[in-house]
Amino acid sequence: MDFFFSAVASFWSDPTVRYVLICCLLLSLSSSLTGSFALLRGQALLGDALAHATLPGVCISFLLLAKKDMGLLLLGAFCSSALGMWLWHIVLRYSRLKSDTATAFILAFFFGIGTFLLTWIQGSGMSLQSGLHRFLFGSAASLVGDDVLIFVFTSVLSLLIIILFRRDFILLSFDPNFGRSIGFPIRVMDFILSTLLLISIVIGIQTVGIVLISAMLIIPPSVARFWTYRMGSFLLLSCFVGCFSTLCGVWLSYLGRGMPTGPWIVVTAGFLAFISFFLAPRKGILPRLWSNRRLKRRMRWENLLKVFYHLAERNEDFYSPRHWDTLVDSFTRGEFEGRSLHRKELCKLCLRGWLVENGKDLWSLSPEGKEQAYRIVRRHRLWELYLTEYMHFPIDQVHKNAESMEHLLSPELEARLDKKMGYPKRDPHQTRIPREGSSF
Amino acid sequence: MSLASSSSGSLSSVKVRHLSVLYDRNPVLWDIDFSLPQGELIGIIGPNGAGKSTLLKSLMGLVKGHSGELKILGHPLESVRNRLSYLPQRESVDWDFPISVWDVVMMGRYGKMGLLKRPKKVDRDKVEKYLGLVGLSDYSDRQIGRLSGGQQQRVFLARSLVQEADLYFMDEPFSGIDAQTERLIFEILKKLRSEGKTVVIVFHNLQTVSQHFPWIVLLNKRLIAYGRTEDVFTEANLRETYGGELSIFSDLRNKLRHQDLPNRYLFSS
Repeated sequence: MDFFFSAVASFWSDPTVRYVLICCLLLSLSSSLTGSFALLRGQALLGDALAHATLPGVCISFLLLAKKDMGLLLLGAFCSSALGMWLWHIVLRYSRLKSDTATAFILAFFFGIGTFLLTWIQGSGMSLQSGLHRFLFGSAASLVGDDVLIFVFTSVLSLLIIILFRRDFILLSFDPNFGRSIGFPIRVMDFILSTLLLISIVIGIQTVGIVLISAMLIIPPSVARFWTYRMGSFLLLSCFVGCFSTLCGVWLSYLGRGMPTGPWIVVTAGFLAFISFFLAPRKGILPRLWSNRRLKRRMRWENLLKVFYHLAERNEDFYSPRHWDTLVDSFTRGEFEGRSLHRKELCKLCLRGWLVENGKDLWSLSPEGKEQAYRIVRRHRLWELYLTEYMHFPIDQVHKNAESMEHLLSPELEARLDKKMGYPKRDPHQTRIPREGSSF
Repeated sequence: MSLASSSSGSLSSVKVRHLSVLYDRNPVLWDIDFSLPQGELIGIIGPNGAGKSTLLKSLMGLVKGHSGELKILGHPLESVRNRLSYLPQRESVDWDFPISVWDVVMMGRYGKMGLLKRPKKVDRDKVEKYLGLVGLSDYSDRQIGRLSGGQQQRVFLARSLVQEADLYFMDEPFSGIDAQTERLIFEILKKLRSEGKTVVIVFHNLQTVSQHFPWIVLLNKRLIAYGRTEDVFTEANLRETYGGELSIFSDLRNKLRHQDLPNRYLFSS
């Protein structure tokens, strides 16, 4: 523990690390938020194209000034990226290119020009040119005190604007045509949101670089999308994921001296995305497999209870014990899906309190088990009746369908079916529909 | 073209002259001229691709490349926007969007709010009222993607109603819904009409048109007919609306698509 605290203390006391951390956190806040809206508007890749479109601007302003003034270089980056966005709009509006094609085109075209200029600068032997490369892959470690001011100013500004106008941006992203119909200034809002996106790209390229900045825009909201369906928590979670991966990235790169910060941030965020992909409730792979398994298990149990019901139906002896061989035989004749019956499953139903074990290889229904068996058979027969009477299915075809529907009908649906058909007593095969309290 | 005289001497709800819309040099609407009454349910009828949605959108000023004159409620469009309500097609938005039923319906109040769109109590009350009216009170917190098709359509309806407009444009509110929702929507429409509101609706079911709509507009890229349903809903008009494209007209359209003819030679207004 002491080691941990001293590690944190030395981490924080290093002024370079402190600058880097503050800048990266601010950057990840504004890029996660603007990225969230880009994702919602289906423009996930636009950020990537716009990031690549900054390179010509950086190079040109370096050529014009012949020195490295960070503010002016970033201004150049902003201008060429804005030009890229304007061209993207023009291409979309006046050509028949699809959005992804237009995006790829802008990316390649601008990056091509940028690479050409960069190579030319490097060959020209101008002094101080070496630093330009850091725009490509980013170099968070070189952030200094002055940079913090730029980061604080721009991030706080974008945060404020997004918080104030969040409803407008949500409307713009969700249903722009409806927005236009109420006279809402869609184009102005679009312009503001795009400018914010450009700003977070431009301040991000020094940190994580042109190539990776789109990850800062897209990964945090993608992770958030796995975990929530609410707008507020989506935006907050997106910010949290951005900040958390930034924290981890800066920390990891601090541990191994000379390790790059930007890539570590992106890799951490990527890990979070994969974890969400597997674990997120409802949308994740594992929970989906899990709920599938549970459904299958429930279906088997219900089928087993049905076997008990059918054995007892003729003689109305619901509580008399059944021998293992009888049960296996009936279960096989039921032609249920899945493997054959196993003793362990009967034991599990005993644990649930639906069955009682009466000596070796003998089992009987418990009162609760009988109720469950009633319920499942009732659903089966109600559904058969519904299919024949309302859907006009031939009577010999309803059994198969009811075999699966009986497991899916919720109590509410069952009640509605029952009411709609006037609480019928018999199914289409003229067998009795079992109900609690009714005896045979 | 059969022209019915306006039902009463009152102001017309929508009046267009020489309305034409081009998408990619392809005319979707061709020289439309009509005037619709106020306080009626008006159905817009026509085959797929007849430009029904485009007509509604151009009446709301949502499409580019249209020419012609437009008067809504006797005024230019922009000055009466807060008296209008537009219900888009259900397919026009992403239902996976992380937003709740309540928030979507609240958007209907945005037109009456300030720059920052802070809902006041009156806005919240109205949202609640109309959610109740369409039977979605219990779903207000739910993400919109987790509703059935009929419920999603009712969300849009509630958003439209909460605008409390004088003139409603509804684009296929009956597509993909259950019988219960259809009945509900018609009940609400009749109520709107009894309050003197005008509703213009893109409609598909020819069997029930005359039962529900006192007024109709028959459209197939050009205006076939408009007027009282009993006058206009005739076999001849229907054949003209649904009976395939006129050959000269479609030839001209193809020519247009392949040539760079300036629009002003095509549509003089």
